Amino acid sequence: MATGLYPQTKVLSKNFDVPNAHTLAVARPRGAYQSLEKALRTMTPAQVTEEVKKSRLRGRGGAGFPTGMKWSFVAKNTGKPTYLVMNADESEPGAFKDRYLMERDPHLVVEGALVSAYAIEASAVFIYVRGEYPNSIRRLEGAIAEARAAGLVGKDILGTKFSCEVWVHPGAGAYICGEETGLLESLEGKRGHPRIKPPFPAVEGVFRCPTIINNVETLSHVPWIVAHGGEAFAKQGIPPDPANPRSNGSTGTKLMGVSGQVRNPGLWEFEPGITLRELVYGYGGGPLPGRKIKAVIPGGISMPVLLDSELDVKMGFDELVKVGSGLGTGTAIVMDDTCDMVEACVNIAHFFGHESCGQCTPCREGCHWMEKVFRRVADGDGQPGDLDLLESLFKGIEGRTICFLADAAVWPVRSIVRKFRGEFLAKMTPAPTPAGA
Amino acid sequence: MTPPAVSPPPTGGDPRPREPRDANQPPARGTRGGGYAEAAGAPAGVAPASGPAKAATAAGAAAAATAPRKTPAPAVVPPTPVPFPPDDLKAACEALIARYPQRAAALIPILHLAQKRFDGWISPEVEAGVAQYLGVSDQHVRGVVTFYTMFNTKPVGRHHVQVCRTLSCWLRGAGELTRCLERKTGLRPGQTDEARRFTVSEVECLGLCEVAPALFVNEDAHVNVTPEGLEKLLDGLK
Repeated sequence: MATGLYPQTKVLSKNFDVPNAHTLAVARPRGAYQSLEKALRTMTPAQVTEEVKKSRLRGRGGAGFPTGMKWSFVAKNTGKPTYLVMNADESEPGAFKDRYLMERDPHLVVEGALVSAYAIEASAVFIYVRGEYPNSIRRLEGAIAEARAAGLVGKDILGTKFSCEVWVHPGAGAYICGEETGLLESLEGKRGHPRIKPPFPAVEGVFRCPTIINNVETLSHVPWIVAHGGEAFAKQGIPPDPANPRSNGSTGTKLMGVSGQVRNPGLWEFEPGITLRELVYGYGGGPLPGRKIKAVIPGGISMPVLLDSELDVKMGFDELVKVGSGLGTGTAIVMDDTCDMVEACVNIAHFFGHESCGQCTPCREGCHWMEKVFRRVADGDGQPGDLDLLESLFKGIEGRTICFLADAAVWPVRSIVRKFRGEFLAKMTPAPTPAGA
Repeated sequence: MTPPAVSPPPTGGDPRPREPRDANQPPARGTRGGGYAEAAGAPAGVAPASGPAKAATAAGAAAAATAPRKTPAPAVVPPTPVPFPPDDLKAACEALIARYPQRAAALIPILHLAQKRFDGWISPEVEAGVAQYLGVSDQHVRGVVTFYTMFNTKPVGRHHVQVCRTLSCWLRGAGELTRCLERKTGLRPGQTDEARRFTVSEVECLGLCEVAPALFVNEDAHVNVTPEGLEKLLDGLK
């Protein structure tokens, strides 16, 4: 990799290239479970939560909700057990970061789960791994078995009074189970239909018990925070905007990836602050020979696209929102000038149509409807009113459903329709006169 | 069970077999799994929502194969449950159930075991057996089986080739892989050949985006696949 690039900071990824780092024999001498030991022996659960709050750690699954605050919502003294659920249903197209963690450093994942379970006083952790990750499932189960044999999982962990089970629960192929309440339904052995909130899972989650759901990457940060303190974590990355009291910044490090039409797709770890351009052109290697980059979705498939001219934005939660997109999972998808944007919309709308759980009419019907309109435009059968029809569909779908899948279905395609209007008009027959264009 | 002949190409879902262009109207289809559309008595030609993509390998084709459904459905004979769990799965199933405070929560992991054990798919008889074992209704199990795309509701081939069709793979040439599969095996997504050597599916994101295009053959991932590489791979699968 050329010099002069934004530097990588390997915290979560420090063991990614270490041979056999998935075994306890290699991982433990490299520091695995030291934070668990520190937390159990020297800290109270409240102190762990306090450090996580100080760290300003935000959820890495896409929404960016402050993790410490989420933990503080857990209902106490309910007389019921508390559960921690680790969301490893990484189904977001373009996202593959959690797979790296689970396959290459599963003991970090298990330790993160255990320390976090201690903080919220959970009696069991369910790691919900998507069914399409058989290797991740095997690695995690192997790591848990090793940890159990070493007294790190189960009863009286490390000889303390803290007992916690960790189980891997396989999914079976459903994007919607990445939505936290859809995941809980699935964990209970049902169809993954998201629930109406409230009650929020922290009060009534899986098996009607208080439940906290966090992403794999989020919880994998917790051991470092326990080892080095929340303030050290908060010093990395982008600090909160002092002018905005509600801002949380983008602290710590973040796994970021690039896929799609670039020379060097891959995954790296940075302190937020790298620009999307450096990520795509520097680490991603830029466009394939002879091509030009046309559009980039900064995080997964569910965020609005940015044009090549808009890439000088920092990869941070608030920074990307300011330019009308979002960090999402932090894994960019790149489309170059050979990509037909109308066909891309067909592809995206088909995905969401297939993955809609079918509970809410606007999403169940709307996603397929969008796909049909995109399809006929792509086939040259577009009608003059189709772009208006699409706009009305966007309005009818977004914000009108139980969960965010519908919004995620609208955002990318709406941004494409608006930013690449010319491509749509060019395919319409007869070509309407571009009024005001 | 007799293996079905090559099922007719499913409609919908896959863009190629075109549907009547009534895009001004909301489509009359359900979503996620053939169960919904079948139950709703989807008219012939309107695809069961999930179409051939993802696991609908079987589900989509199932509805298409039995279409047209204009005649009233025959009286429903409840399936005879298979004895479940078979002896070799007993310990594993009991260990799974013990993890959860509710027995029914073990359903999805147990269905995975059952699918592997019973020839790669979940028949109504297996559904009923699992339902009895976990103390839930057949309908509950049916609902779950049809919701999740990894559960097959029809027999599949020995080699289930699942090509990812979602954006990152599509941008790197997943479409060519599907065409190559059709050329090589004569199968379109959702179909199984008569000898049950192959089932071909198009699936949504497999999470192998940085090594796209990617596909799974059963549980084995193949990445950065080229059409030439795919042809070689298929030749090696007997």
